[in-house]
Amino acid sequence: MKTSKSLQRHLFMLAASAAALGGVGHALACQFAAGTSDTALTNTFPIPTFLSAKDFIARQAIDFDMLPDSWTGHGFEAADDTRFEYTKHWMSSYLIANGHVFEHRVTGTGTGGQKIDLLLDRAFHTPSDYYVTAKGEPTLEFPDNTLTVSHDRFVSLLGADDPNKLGEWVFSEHPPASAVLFWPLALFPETTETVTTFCGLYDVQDSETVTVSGGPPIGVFLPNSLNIYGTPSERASDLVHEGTHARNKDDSARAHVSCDTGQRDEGGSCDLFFPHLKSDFSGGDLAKGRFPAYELQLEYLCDLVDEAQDWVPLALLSDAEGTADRTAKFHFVDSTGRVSLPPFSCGVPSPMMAEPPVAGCDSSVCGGQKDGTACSDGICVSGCCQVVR
Amino acid sequence: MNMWEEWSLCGFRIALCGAALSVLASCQTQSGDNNEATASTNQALSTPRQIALSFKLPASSKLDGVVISAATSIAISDRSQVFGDLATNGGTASLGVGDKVGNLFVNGTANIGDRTQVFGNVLARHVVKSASATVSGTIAEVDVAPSTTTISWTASLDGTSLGDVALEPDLSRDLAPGRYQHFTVKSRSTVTLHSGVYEFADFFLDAQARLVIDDSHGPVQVIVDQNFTYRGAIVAGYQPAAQVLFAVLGTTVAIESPFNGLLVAANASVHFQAALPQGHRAFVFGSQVSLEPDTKIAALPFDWTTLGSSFLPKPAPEACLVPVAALQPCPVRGTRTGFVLPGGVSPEDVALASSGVLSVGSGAQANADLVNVGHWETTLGTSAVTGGIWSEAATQLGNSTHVAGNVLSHSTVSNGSQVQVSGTIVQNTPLSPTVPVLWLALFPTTNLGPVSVAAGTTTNLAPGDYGAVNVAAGATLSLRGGTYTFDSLSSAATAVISTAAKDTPVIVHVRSGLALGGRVSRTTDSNQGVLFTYQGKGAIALKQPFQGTLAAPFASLQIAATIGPYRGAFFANNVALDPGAVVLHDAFGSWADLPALEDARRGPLPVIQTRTSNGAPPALDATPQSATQFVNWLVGSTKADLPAARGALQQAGPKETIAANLTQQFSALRATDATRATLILNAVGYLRTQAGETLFTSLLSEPLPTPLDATLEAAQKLRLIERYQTAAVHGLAFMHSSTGDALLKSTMRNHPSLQIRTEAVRSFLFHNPSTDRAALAAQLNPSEASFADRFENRNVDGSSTFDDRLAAYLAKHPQP
Repeated sequence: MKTSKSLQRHLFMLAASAAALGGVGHALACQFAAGTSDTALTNTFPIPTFLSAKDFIARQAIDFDMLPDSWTGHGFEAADDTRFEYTKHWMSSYLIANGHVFEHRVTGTGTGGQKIDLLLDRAFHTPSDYYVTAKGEPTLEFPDNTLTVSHDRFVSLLGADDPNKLGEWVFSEHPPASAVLFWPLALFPETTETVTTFCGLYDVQDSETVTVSGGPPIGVFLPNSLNIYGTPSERASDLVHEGTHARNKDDSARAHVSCDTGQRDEGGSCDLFFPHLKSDFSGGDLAKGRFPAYELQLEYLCDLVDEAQDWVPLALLSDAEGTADRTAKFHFVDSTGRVSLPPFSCGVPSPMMAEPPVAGCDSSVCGGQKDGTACSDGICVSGCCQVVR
Repeated sequence: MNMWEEWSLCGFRIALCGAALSVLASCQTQSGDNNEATASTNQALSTPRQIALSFKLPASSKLDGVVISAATSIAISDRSQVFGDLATNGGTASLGVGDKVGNLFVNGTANIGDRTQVFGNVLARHVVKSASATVSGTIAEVDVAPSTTTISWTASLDGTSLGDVALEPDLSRDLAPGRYQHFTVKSRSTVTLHSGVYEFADFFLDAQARLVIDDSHGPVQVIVDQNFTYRGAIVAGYQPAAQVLFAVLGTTVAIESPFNGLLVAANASVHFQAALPQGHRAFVFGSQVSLEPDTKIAALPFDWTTLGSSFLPKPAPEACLVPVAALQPCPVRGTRTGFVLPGGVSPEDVALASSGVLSVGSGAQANADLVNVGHWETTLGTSAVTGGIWSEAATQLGNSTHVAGNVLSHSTVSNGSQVQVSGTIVQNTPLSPTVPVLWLALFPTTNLGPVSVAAGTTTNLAPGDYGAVNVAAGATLSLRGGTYTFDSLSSAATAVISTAAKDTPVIVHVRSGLALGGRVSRTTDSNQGVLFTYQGKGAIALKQPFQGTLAAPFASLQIAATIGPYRGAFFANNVALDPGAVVLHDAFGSWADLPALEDARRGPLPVIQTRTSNGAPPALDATPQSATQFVNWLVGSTKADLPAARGALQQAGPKETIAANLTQQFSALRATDATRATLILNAVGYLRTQAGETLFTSLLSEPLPTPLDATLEAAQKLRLIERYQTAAVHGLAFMHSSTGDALLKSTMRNHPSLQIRTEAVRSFLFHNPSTDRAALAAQLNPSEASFADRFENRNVDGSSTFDDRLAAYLAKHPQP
């Protein structure tokens, strides 16, 4: 993007201010700030966050192979500061691991004393399924007595500001160029898999790269702008998305396609959609299926917004609905390149997620009652007396 | 300062300064006084002294990876192979035609000749590469400055001179460490050197003379004050790779026969003859280093830390794998390591695998597949018997070898006489792309401590994390199913490590230091596999039968001939099956289960204590302040707070004023905080006010920006407005007003955004579930009629399941 000289000067000042705010010792790769959803998510953890979360953080860093060289200076040593990239990364990982329930059940005792256990709804997959996918758990199989490693565990890297990328999974047959900077990658000279998450997933405001007075390009953050991708739900679903790529390494039928032609295109931003019954999976068995990356990303987002745990912040759910909408509407085409919407929608198309009154529901019976409270013919569910026969 | 100390200092300076000319000149002056120095040393010979030695490598290179290094220049003649990295602190590195080398680190110009292959990266100030040369990694013209860290150590010597070492042909002498005068050993004579430091005035080892290296108690260091001529042979006496280092202070070094050792000669021009067919196994640092055509030099595993406590740099600490607050100790260190195999090759089918040099000695046998994914060489000696072979490297089949399977090589395959290959021989054909087999070896910094099994005793050890484990002579260490981590593991020649893998595999991760002198056996009732992994780089020598799988991806492994066979599989950087050694393949059997075993060992994912409510919402009244407070509460609230949020909005009043206040907040925030702004639209919608309808109507009329390019940033401006318009559509549908519904129906057909058209249809149907969907579909754009049949993911009214709804949809809209 071209910018005027006066704007460049203004941007340079902004960059300098941002660097100063970033504090000494912080290599300013992405913006040093926290968005509303990230802040809300942090606030759901008791203070001090690190003490509460340290066991999970220790595990997450190993699970995701958070290369210290990449994340040190970006929250690896200050994992309770939401303004850092690593803090946002592990919180998103936690959202994947624990953010929703697989089965939405209501249990109680009916007026007749009978034990009631109602399965009201269910997710596509379990949180564990998504976490295992996102962290790059290798899938090992023995078809015809031959080991197939569908993918390797991958190393998680932090990328810089990139106008076109949010996340990227790379399978490399040779040491990547980054091995020069991050020498441990050179330990795997024949094949390396990395997942790089870029600044777009961490920044709060839009960023721009400008050249000031012939100097090197610098990244600056624009005033009165915002980055709708820098949210926990976008980040979490992107981790699932990239992990799915790893799982699909040798499955060309599930690879990205061009949004214009519907034909396979590594640089494409669309997928074909393969609808399936929820009952095709019983939980914990995601690895038996193969999904295009956007499809599993959408299923994850749907599970998050429709089966969220009670502690998930409303702000985050609102963002997740937006992410799910964008994913569903703009990333699926048929094999001719025509838009092919998934047959279902996620979230609630209503203010404050208000559902319409259910016909026949006498709210006076269960109004204000907790789910599972006995009512005349069964138990209360969402303010209605659910008849149990 | 006496003259000898000045000598030592000179060598030290030269090394330190990388042969800077001014320093070199002063040293040459010293060397010109050589006779005087030698004469005067006699007076000083009786005093113990220490010789400081040092050299530098380019900062970006790794000591363990470098094979040839120089202060000024390296010249590699045609068709030579260097099985490791090349590094110069200045000058040039010139590669001839058809060479094979590892990474290049050149603080000057790198000339890469025709058809030369670089297996790695080229980092040099300037690169001149033939078009026919290949570089598997990246080429970067960068500053390759010497490291600021000097690799230095001190050799300590007793001052007493023990005279000349002069052997005529066919003699032998066992030499104790110490200071000697001239070293001259003629043809067919043998000299044995032991762990410790030697110093000679000069060094001459004649053709067919042998230098036996007894490194059983540490490395052998040989300091040579003047020139160094080597025409004989170095014989490993204890370690499989002789741990011998020659530090030459003179200016001429000639290597004319196979050389196995380390050579640091900072002042010297070092010249290697090809010494075919064996070639060399070495680490070299010289002032200038040159190789004759067809020279082969492989890396020599060497533990630099054994040179003494003053060695710098210290081994790089393993990365702390988990985030720790500043100054807190790291709880877990380790790394994810493994090996790779060609696609389609199961680790369960492989007997021997390497990523460097794979050699099977004469008469040796391995009754399953051999894999070498390294680019160096694969050789089978005379009468060797193996399974199929997969080799990236050139493969040589000796006379009368028998291969039960195919021989697939990315390079050439050369046959001796009477070779039997039951399958086909395919050469110069790429192997399938490699796939990794990895494991995660975590070594907690606090463990259960060292384990010492005393001579003649038996210790049953439970799975867990331990420090150094040592099994003395005649002792038995019993391991059972589960995972162990050891900082190191050593066993005496008559010791036994017994594994009982009944129903559960035995997995032993060894961090550094693996010296298995005794047997490793597996109990007869074991029905699962046994796996030893080793993270270190030190050479491993097996001299007693081993039952299990050994995976040491960074180490060289020598498997000696034993009375009984080995039963298992062996994966290492370099693998040498000695002549007569026999490996009966026995698969680990649980490679596919390793990730699950790791996860099970670490237990379930920790759960963080969470807060499920933001407390009661603040009262919402007509003041702008209360609207601000309510929005602040709303953005901090959780899903569990939704009923309270709705209740607060239902009870709030006056609603029109509150909606107007919230609208003002939306306007102020819409360009800086999309999350907060969207939640405000939700609140406005839930109030069902005229102010809200006005806001939503206005929002829906806003033009959509046209992305200037295909970047995310350009797209997000459009997506942001769509998000607000989506909330507006939801709000209008919730109102159930006639004007709102009319706008919705218009939006379904006419809005320029697909996102908004679909959401208009969806939210209208959501709030008007009894709508005739077919009739509604008829009002939509014909290509979008199916929007009316889309359904909600969640079970809204409990009347059907997702599967029911999907089945109905697919029945009406079959998928291609």
